[in-house]
Amino acid sequence: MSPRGAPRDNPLREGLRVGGASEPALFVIFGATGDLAQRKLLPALYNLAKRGLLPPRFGVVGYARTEMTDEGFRRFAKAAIEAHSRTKMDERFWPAFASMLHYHAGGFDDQKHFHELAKTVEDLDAHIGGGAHRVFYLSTPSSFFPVIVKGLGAAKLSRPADLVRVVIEKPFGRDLESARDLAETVHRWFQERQVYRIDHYLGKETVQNIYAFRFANAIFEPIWSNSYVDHIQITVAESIGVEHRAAFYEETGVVRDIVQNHLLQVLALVAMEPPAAFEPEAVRDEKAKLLRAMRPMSFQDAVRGQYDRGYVAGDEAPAYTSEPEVPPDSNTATYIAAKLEIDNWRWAGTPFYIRSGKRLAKRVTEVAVQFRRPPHLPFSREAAEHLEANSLVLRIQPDEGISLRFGAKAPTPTLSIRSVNMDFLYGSSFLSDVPEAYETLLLDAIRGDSTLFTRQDSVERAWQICDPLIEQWQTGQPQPYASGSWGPDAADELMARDGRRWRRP
Amino acid sequence: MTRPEIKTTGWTELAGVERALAELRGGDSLGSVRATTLNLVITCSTEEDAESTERVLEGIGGSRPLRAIVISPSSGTPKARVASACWTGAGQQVCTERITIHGARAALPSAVLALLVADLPVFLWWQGEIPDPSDSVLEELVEAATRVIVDSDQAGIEPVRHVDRMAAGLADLAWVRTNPWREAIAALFDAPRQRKALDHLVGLEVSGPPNQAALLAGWLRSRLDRQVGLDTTRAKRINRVELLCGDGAFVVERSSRNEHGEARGPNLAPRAVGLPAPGLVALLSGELDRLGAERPFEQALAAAA
Repeated sequence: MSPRGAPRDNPLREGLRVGGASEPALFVIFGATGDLAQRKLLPALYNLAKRGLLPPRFGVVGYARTEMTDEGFRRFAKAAIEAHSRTKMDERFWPAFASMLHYHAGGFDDQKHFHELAKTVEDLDAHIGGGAHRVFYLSTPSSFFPVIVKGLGAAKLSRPADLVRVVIEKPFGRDLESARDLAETVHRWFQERQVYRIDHYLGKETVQNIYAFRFANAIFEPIWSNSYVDHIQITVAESIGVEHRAAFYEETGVVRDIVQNHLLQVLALVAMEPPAAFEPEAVRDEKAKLLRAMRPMSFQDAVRGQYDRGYVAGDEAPAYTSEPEVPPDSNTATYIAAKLEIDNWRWAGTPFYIRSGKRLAKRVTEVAVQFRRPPHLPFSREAAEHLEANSLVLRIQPDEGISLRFGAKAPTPTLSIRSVNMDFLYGSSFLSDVPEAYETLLLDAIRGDSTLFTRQDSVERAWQICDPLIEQWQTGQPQPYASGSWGPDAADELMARDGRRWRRP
Repeated sequence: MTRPEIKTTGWTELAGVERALAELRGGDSLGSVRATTLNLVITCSTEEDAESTERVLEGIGGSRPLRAIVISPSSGTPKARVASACWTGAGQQVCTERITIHGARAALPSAVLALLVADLPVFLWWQGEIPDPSDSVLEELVEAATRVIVDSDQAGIEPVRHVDRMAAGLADLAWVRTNPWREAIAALFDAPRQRKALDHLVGLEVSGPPNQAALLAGWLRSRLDRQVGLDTTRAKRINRVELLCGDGAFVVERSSRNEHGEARGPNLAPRAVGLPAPGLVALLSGELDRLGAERPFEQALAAAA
């Protein structure tokens, strides 16, 4: 919704700014000197500006405790962009971008800082011509979310609802109860439609390509069901360990870090029904419906692991318990393999197997749709003995693309059918600059398009799915697996008991 | 991205073109997949056209796997020379194919039709002057094209209007050059208070190429559905645009040294605006990403007289 007299009513606007934002906006970053702001937010805003996608009337306000002038913040931002932007610093363009950057020093615990911020925002709004949308980005540890939200609300910065949005980074709680508590605090000041819960995975071009693949092509949807699909495997594998995030990881583990958000969101895209329109509520309704149909995870259908020492791509790697800041008796799971089931018409009886872990053989994220075998093969056993069932693999990273496996006659004198892969590499059709996920998501937040952001009902349902397993895994020890392997043997046994096996990505 | 690896063949009959391209690809064996996203037909009549063609194909080839068909009128039965260029970047490879055809002008459209990659969009980049609308070569090529790209800075507005009547989709590079100016002008009137001033817009003063000035005037007339006078001071590129609205004037002006400028108006604080002047490669690349007609341009073109 836009107020009367908004830029979109400007008769000169038709046909301009295809894909960009036109309505004036102020973007306030809480935690503007933090790691996320330096690595992602400031470079993303810079690249959006360079691509001409930001509104012509636009301003950024950095907010953090550190005392700094506007000029100081501009120097800080320039260094961050030079270090982390996917494009090189353009010195000719920099002055125009720098003029948009402003800074407001303040803490989170004193309401007077928020009132001062309100004045700064008001002045900047007037400076750029008035009527600006306001996006408050909470780039701070989640423990500060309640106090910042309250500060904004008490300073009347959460209104008017049509113009104000608040962007929250994960984690959205650490279980169902805390997620509800956080939502209750946020909803005290912001309506749900103002809340943009960001999961950067959903901004990746190749994750968005799942929508295009499924809903822009008529040839796949008819076979996208339990009638033709035997099972689906989703893999989110990392080759790195916990690095410098051990303290954080000890508190989260693989289920909270990956499954509850990234993995279930990708699964929802793969399995949801087609939305009536690619609009925020239509898409998010379908995702929520899908998650509601999913059974909570159970420990009987899940395997947890923890990486042991080993070699990853030739480099020696220590065990998780030997990492700095990790207790030697830690039972934190760094790996999960699980079977998920969806009780709806389309997917009943077709399991989804998920696996995710650290220090695995390589970094890869993919969705593999394994189709059923032909009901009857009219060939001799010898002719088709090496033929595997069809599979369709959506590779999200790296080497983004789609791979289809099917049977073809080998050029031999006797009939022999072999499986061949037909690979479509996303990059071989579009080698142009691929925007960072944060560019896509920040632009959407500025434009007020919440399609790619997670709604509270989905967050809560995802916790309901994960909480039983998290609870059960509080005690006991995960199974060790060698760094550089594909996880513990028990993960293979989980598949073997259903007569299936993991794909080697 | 690295410089492309280029392979070429000698002149061949048209019938041998596909085979020659397959050989350049290393032979199409079982399971190989070729990625192509569009056909780009380029007319090339002068030395200058040839230079621009080289520059553009070098510049955009690495981002779009395309088949370029470059046609140059000469005499006799058309003959072709084929080349493939592969760019490697971030572990991925994009390859483009180029077919250069020389032959009698009247025979060129049929050569093009025979060599288009099936079912992919066809962009026709018509360089330089545009012939009379009764010209059969123009007519046949425009008819085959999903989108025609011309430059009214070179061809003039009237011939572009003729093409517009024939084409499914038309892009004018001169119009695209006015994009940042239209952006900046539109932004002046985003706020309701300033928008009211549009009701009193009577004239436009432009320092820039007369053709782009006419398109800007056409744009304002068509958007506002009213007459707007135009006064042009000729310059190589647009440097200044002034909109006369009653007693007040709204101005967008390029600063002397870079691709930025200032926008100002009554009750409006001056603000910096980006006024980039992208080169031919960037202009053309952007147009290859669009399909179909662009309504505001067509209306502006119609009202540009």
